[in-house]
Amino acid sequence: MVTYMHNMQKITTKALICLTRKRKKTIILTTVFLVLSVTMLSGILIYHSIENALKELREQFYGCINVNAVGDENFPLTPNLASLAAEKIGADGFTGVTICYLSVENISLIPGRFTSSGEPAMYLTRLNSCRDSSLARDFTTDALSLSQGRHLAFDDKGKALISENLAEMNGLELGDRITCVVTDDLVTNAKTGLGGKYEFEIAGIYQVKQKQGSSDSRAECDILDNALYIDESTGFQIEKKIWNQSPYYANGLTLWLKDPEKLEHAMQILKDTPEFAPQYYHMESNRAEYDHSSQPMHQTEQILFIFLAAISGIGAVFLIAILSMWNYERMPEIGVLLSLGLKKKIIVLQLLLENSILFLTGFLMAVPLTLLCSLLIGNLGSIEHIALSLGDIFIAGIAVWILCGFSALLSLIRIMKKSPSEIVTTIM
Amino acid sequence: MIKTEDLTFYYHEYRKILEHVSITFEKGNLYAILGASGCGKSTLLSLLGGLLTPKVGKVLYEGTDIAEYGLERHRQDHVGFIFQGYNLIEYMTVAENVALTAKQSPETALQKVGLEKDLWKQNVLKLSGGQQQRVAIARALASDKPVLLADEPTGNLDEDSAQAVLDILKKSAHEEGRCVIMVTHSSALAAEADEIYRYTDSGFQTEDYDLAIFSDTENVPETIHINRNKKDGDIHA
Repeated sequence: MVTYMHNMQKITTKALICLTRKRKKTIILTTVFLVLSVTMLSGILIYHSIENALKELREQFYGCINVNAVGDENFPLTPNLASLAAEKIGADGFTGVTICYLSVENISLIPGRFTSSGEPAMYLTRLNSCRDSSLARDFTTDALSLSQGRHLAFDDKGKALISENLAEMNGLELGDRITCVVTDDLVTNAKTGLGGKYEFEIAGIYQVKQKQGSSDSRAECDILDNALYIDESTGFQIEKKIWNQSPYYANGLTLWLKDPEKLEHAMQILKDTPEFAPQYYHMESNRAEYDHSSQPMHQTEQILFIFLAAISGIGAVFLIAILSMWNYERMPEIGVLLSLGLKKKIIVLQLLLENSILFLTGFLMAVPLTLLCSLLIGNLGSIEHIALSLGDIFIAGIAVWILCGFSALLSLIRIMKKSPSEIVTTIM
Repeated sequence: MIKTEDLTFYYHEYRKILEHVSITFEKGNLYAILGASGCGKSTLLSLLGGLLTPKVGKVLYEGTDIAEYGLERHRQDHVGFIFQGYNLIEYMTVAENVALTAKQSPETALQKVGLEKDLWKQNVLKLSGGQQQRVAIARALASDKPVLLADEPTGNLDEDSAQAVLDILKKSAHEEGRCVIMVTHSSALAAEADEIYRYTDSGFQTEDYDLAIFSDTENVPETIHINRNKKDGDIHA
């Protein structure tokens, strides 16, 4: 161990002497390593930025599987069935939707087609009953966005979300109450419970982000600003009263997966579940939409990967060429060392150590340089997620170091394949 | 100490460089190997130093075949090289060159070769040829190897420097008990050796007689008597 340490110390000293005395070569090679490291780090930086953006897109996008009963009322989508489906595919959440149309009593709706004629339908609006309003399609696609209060949760009772415009028009705030009535209307199609009143406390106010164009020709109930989101419990209560049915999701079930990449597999699991026989339930996912949205990023990711591989390859060839040339120049020195009795492996170790020291110097200079550039680019271009983690730096460091070591070894093969006498011949 | 037994070497079988060479070199002696350019003198040094492997025969160090001992180990433990072109590491100082494989104190070795202390920290390229060769010898001495193989050690030096180098080699052999084997073209230089081996058409031959080969060399007396195993004072013309 002492001998080993002593040898290592000698090798290190010799390597350092060589590097400090051969300044020109040291500077050139350090610059090569610096450029290579900056390229690698930048590549990893951009690669991770794309990966993060894709991750965010996935999280924002939310993969969903919509399940709808195929016309047969004998196979309704009950909450139990929905729970079973969610459990089977390991869904991150699910929400069933039941839509019913009731008339508002104590507020006015945003005027539409019926307001000018004064028809009763001018009070009729759509109530979207959902288990978790944050998972409702309009909110996940960002057509609507909660601006005040909170979303509706599974255990809510008598709560509602209304739009900013509707709240403003009627001077409503969080905590105020809205009353809805079951009216005899074709749209409501109520069998019983006519005149039944349901009161909702405003739990949240949402902003309509999706432009709908002129509302004059549109029925009041079709205007997004007029829609109310109500809790599932009250929704089921209304459903039971007016249609005399046990609770079920009349307008389908949506199962959510944070990672859209898992959609295909989840769909297959559902299709293989006997309770969801395809003849009774129709299923579709938004995978195609996700693929469409993420395609440019995936392509950029692939291009970048090829670019990084190419840079590594070209860098390696370039390094091998430079190192071969320089190491070949050092053949007389290697000959002298061999004749002095130094082992080939010791000489190789010294040359590798020299390259490693230069690589480390170049790499340590590259890290702050790349970080600075990433900050500048991030600030100038308002680009998020441009950051290097310690792990990235470590991985890049190891990768470039292996590349350098590999190049140095290849450059030495030509020399080391020679016999000592062939090498020493160059000096005799 | 070190000897060859029926040594044959060639790069191409049809042109043998050395054939059936058996020579013994003893410690405490300075040997000179004479011969025309390309006759195989340096090849013999390479074989003795374990840089080449014999095609036939063997090199024995203290009775052991160096191939069995390991050529790398043989170079590490037994033989030191001194080259005509000095072959110092050009980016190192005098002291650093000597310290490369030093087992003895580099300072002592530098003192032995008479190199002034103020030169020790200088880059070797700033020294004269004679000084550089002394550094090379100091490097070989510092590595404390029993056999010194010198390939034309004075080939690039002027007369004074050549004499100084030769004196160091002689001292190393006679006072420190090393076996110093020197390849040279110079008959005058060879004349100072304890024993001369001359390569002729019939192989290496010991010259312990009037040397006819010197007769055509201007600066050398026509007859020189070299007595085998005699020290400095015993050599007489």
